[in-house]
Amino acid sequence: MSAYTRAKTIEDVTQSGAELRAGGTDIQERLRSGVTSLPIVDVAAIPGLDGVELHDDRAGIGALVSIRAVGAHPELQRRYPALTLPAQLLATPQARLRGTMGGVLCQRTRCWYYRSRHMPCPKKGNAERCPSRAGNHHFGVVFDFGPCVYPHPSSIGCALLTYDAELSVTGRGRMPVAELYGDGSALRDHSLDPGEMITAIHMPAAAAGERGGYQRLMSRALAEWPLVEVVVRLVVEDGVVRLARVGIGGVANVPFRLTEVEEALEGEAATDAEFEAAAKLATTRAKPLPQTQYKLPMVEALVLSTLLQARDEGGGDLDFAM
Amino acid sequence: MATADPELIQIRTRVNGEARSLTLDPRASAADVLREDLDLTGTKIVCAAGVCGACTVMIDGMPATACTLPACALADAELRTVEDMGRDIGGGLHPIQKAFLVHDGLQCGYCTPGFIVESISFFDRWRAKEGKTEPPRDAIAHALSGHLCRCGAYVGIYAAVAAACRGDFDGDALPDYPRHDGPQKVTGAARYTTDVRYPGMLTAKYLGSAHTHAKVLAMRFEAALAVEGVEAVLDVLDDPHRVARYAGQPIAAVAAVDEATAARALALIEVEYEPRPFVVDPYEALREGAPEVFPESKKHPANASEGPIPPATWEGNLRKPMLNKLLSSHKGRAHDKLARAQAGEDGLVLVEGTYHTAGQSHTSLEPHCCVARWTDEGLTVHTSTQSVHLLMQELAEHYRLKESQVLVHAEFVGGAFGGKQGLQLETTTAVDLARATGKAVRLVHDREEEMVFGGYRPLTRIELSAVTNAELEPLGLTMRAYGTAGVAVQSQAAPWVRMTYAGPKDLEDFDVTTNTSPGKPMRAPSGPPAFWALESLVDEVAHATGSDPVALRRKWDDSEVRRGLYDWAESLPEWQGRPKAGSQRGRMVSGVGLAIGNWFNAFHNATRVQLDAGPEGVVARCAVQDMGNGSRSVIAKAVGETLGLPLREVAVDLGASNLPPGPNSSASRTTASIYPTSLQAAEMLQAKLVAAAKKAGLRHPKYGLDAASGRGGIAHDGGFVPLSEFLRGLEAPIRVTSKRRGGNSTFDLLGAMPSGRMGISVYPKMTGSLAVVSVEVDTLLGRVYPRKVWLGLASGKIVNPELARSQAYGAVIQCLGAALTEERHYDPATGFLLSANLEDYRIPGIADIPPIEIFFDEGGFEGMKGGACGLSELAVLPTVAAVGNAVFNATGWRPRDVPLRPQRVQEHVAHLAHSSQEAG
Ligand SMILES: Cc1cc2nc3c(=O)[nH]c(=O)nc-3n(C[C@H](O)[C@H](O)[C@H](O)COP(=O)(O)OP(=O)(O)OC[C@H]3O[C@@H](n4cnc5c(N)ncnc54)[C@H](O)[C@@H]3O)c2cc1C
Ligand code: SF4
Ligand code: FES
Ligand code: FES
Repeated sequence: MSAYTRAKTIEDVTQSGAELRAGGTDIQERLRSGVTSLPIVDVAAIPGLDGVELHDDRAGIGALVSIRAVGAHPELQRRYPALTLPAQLLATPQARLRGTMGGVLCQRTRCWYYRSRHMPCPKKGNAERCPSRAGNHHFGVVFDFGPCVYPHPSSIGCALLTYDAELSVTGRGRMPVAELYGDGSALRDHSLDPGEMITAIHMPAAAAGERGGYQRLMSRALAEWPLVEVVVRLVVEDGVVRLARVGIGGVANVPFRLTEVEEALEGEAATDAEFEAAAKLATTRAKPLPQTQYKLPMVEALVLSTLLQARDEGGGDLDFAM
Repeated sequence: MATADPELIQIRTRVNGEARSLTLDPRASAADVLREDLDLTGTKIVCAAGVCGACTVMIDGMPATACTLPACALADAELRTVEDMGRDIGGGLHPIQKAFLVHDGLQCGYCTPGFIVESISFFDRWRAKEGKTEPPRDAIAHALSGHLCRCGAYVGIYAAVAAACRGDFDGDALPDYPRHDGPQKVTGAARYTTDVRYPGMLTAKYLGSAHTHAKVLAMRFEAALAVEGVEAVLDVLDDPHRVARYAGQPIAAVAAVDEATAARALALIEVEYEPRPFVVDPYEALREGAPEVFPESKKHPANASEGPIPPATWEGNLRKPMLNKLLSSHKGRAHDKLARAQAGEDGLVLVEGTYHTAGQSHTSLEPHCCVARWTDEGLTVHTSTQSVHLLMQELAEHYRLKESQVLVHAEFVGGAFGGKQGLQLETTTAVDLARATGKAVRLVHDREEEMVFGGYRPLTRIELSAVTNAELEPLGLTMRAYGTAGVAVQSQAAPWVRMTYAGPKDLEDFDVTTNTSPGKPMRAPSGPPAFWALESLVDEVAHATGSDPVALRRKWDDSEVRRGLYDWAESLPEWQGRPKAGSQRGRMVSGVGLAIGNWFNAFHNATRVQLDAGPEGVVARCAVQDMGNGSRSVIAKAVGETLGLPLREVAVDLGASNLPPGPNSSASRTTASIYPTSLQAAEMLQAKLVAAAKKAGLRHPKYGLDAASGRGGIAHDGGFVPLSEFLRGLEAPIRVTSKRRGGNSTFDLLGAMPSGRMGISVYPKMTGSLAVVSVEVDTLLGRVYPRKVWLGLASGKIVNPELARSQAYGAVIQCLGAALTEERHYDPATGFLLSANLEDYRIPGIADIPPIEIFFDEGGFEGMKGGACGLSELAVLPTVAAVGNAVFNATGWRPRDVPLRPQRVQEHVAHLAHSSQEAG
């Protein structure tokens, strides 16, 4: 196997059996620190994967489309506000420009044990047990789904879950996004093996009149990994919630949906009181760690705040993401 | 899976308009290739992780962080770096670059290339969409949110981008600008130590201790030395007992042809450790039977202060300086009042509180680094230091050389903040490796190393109590301050509390040592924690007694210097209109808080400034350094104004130790040392010029300014000769050297500073500061948003208002970081720093910065030569407490623990969000 392949076709990728490099905004740092080593396969130059295709009842997004291009796409903004809002707010402007849709879904954990070349972590194969669980997990999970206690990094993964989007993956055909992440019981950031590649993202039809909300709770205004992030899709007709989808990140080792909140909202009046009652269910499945208790009230508060945003604002464009 | 080195690949690309063929390691980043292969060093590497934006370049017209951009992505692309910006424009500067110069959107300049590239890209997009209009603050904040500046130049950056977009700098002209070395910084031409290259230069890397506390019994270097490309391996463990006392402490260093080779060799060093028990948490460290950090002797802790380490007694890990006794005044009375107040005596009001601060990392964007080289003449060292002259002396002593054999260079320093003083390990390591290999050796901390052992302000726990009565008399103040600087000592809150406010005081400082990396002196060592605690407490006293916070301070404060600041604060409409504490309900509440600072006033009494005047003009020379504080500008201004020369026409040569001695940039004395000395030199030069004019036969020559042009020159009976013209006709160049003298100081603390060489003099009057902060708190989410900050400074004459303001803004911004976001996190099992990067250690970004207003009260120091005091440290004292007091004013909840991150705030204020109805 060669240490480095510059793929021109998808077959080159499959054959390489190597870890992919797309925009490089994640993997490049790991290569420098030595946390990740060769072989790698560069996919950035494969033609035909950087387009957005719009149909009346669906949309397709190539895996090499940049996060920025998704966030800035007027038609995606109109139809899929809960996707374009996080695409405009996550990371930094530079990372959104170079970071790809495939990369944002498959990026590796930002856990400080994992990222430091001096620290052990079972995901790097140099520890048996997670050192963060017994150690410092201040930024850790509050929904304890499995061995890893660091939150999954993907904001877009969180958004795509609320749409039940599907992925085209080499050798696997189509698979739901939920399958990429699983339930958190495995010690992996996603379920793809080296040499496997997402080639496209498939968005189902948006609901008529759908509104979006996205909020991140951080200590700085912008460009910080969130303590909690929430994505909301909402359809309100005649003051009644017809559809509610709530995705949450920053709180578990996989992005997931708060189905209990969704169920409580659907069919109810879109009032502050109903939203507050539904938001209270957000922590039903939570299991905080000793140092992450503080996230419990945050989860509830941010779910409420994002529901209100979706109801009262709802658009998919932030004015400032030029 | 083990894989051999990859084959190198060939690509074609265009860089700054030139076609290039490159041979690359496919792992390399574009930043490595630009800096190491193409010598385009304007692109800086700071975080190497896509967080800080210092490495931002344009690829095919859009910005990208070059540290995360695979070099392979340059294939068939068009790349532009800061060096190319503005080149095609008349005058060679883009409107954005001119705007940064004029609005002073920079200090040390290390982040500047990235900001320039990103701002130009934003400018182009804004103009295309909105034409010549001014973008709102939010648009600028979003566009620049992928950039961090540790000096806190954001206020100038906002102003610069807005002005450039609205068209202020579209013409070819370059208006006057305040920062003398600005042009080199906005074009990427400024060369910092990290940019120095010698042919055949080796790269050095440290091996960190794998144990938190262990005796190093033996190290074997054979295997590492056998790696091809490795030229030397040295033991660098700096401990007389051969003990490593924190995880990651450098114990050995390798010099090799490149970084990858050095890294490979490090892994092959065999170390035999004898692990010992250790303690990481300061509370654990105080427990009976806790492992001791210095079990064999207490003689060699590192020093987190700028002063000498005074004698102390120890109990386990607790150190009690003997100095404590000197720092109290009327201790018995303070104690007695406290006891009576605690017993509930009538008429006494007792207020008590325990306040915490987290450690604050300096994290200068240019890390600690050194390039060293031995030549036949001696030793040349390039290093990022705030003490060029002192370091030269220390190196001469350490290596037993004559001072003339040592040359220290630091022409540009990418931030220091107190953490780069004197001889440090990166310098001795590079010098030793250079000697061992006979080659130039470069050692640059990576960001993780910089965060772990590059320095931080100690964390503190300060227990305070104050007793007063209905008349608001200061009846007694007691303090127990515990500072933790890991394996370092000398966190000292007591001196500052002693010097501030009247009344009996019983004050004690303690150090609690732990097996974590050493703190270092940081901008006003121990000042911000001391004033955070003291000024929070005073606010609590005001609240407890129902008195006005300013009236109470006026009563307690015996400083006349601060009176003008109190008047100014009381005149602010926002202060006058502040709500009653705790009166608001609902999701968004707002409040205003106030706090003061008090600092001593020092200068270096051996500074010399040399002026050379000749046909090429006037050159000022001094072995001082400019870390973004503006030394060049201060000297140019003093000389230029005295001689009637525009700032740009005074050449300033500094940052090299073969120049006349300059001050160590610590204790805020740079300006107070170089400004009067430069003035004096310019006056001496005037006299010499007049003498030369006489000799040349001009009748009744006098130095004067031409009324029309404002330019200086020689006025004589026959007319006026402008200086430049006069200099062109000079027969022999003129040299003068002036010297700063102790003069009117109360006492000269000769020898008090680190080496015992640098004289420091203290002027008998303290300087004063006062901050007012307005905040909004989202009670549902626990977010604190500063909305406006006012900072008043009474530090005498302001030599250069633009630069003084920039320093003050930067101080406020660093305080907002300490107050709201910055916190070091450790692994409890090893004591290793986990927040050792710029995403987990959160310094403020541009979007976090509210409008900031600076007020200078310049009176009160006329008696001091030059009348200008330092303000860099004074300016960092009051803002943290003012934020806390504003949060209290907004919410009725008293913060006692900073930073006020959402996780600390939310639980205390969330009830307000849910009770909006009650408020009506
Ligand atoms: C300061 C900062 C803040 C950030 N904040 C956020 C945030 O809030 N939310 C968020 O979601 N992200 C955030 N990011 C991460 C950023 O979004 C990702 O780094 C980026 O999206 C990765 O895309 P890339 O193309 O550069 O991936 P690369 O670095 O090229 O690859 C990342 C990983 O994905 C795999 N991969 C890439 N493409 C594919 C594919 N098509 N199929 C299968 N595997 C693939 C690679 O093998 C690699 O393991 C932040 C990054 C930075 C630097
Ligand atoms: S939290 Fe996850 S990534 Fe971090 S050390 Fe544990 S297993 Fe590794
Ligand atoms: S050095 Fe590249 S983003 Fe910080
Ligand atoms: S000027 Fe921005 S880091 Fe110094």
